[in-house]
Amino acid sequence: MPLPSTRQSHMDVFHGMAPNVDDNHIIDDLAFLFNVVAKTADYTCKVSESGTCFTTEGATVAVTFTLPAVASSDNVCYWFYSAEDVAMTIAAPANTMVAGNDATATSIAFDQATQIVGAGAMVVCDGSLWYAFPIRGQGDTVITVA
Amino acid sequence: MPLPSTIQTQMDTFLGKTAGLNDDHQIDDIAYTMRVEAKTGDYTVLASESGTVFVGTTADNDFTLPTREAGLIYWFIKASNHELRVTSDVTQKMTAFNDAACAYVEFTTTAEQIGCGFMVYCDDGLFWNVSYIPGLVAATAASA
Repeated sequence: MPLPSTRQSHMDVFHGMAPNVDDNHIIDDLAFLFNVVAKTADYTCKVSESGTCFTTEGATVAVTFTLPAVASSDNVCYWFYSAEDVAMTIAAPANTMVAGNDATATSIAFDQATQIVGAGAMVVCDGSLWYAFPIRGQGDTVITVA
Repeated sequence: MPLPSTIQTQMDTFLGKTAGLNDDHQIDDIAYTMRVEAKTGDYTVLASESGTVFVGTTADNDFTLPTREAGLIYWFIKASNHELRVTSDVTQKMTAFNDAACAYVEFTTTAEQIGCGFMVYCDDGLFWNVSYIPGLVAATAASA
């Protein structure tokens, strides 16, 4: 039996506020927050982790983040942040990344010593390709595109 | 009277999936994703498309921003070796590259354009603020 639309669910919501839909049919009370996750070793990102900000906080060796298959990643996005002076690589399936004047790249790496900390990238997928928006820690940060 | 946990709400959910909590008490089916739209030419962006990543392909792109409204945000990236321009809805209401009052920003240098992009958001003062995202260190952007 359908429930009346005025009945609220029993979900926990941000700051305990009840969900309400505004004039644009958006739930205002479910504010956007990042899921921030540190990785100290190589890691394969999951589609279900879309929206996560991965960092290398605490890592003492190079870390490679592997992106999931493009076909299952339509609209999926991640943020990556180099928090330690160790190389950080973001690797897509072969030839499915757009980055650094290369429409068929496979990876980007922040691997130039003294230019790593504070750098990172946002990547987003359209179901066919991963698009990389690099964020340089300083103006001349070199990113290795392969 | 509390409802049993197996009763679902009547909310519409992402792709029509039924909302359910995972082991971490999060709703997997409304996870954060970004809308990605490919454009092959000039395009006037809509306010309702806030949060979208626009991918410019095939030819030059001039994206015109909508009427300024605080909180609107867009991402733009070029996936082909053509020009990318993002134009404010009105002149002198955009900040970029140490220019506090410009009308547009662009990447126009051949062989530098793929992977270059901008993030643009509108602030409370109704200015479009631009973050320059060069694909290459030396990628040349311009504003005017």
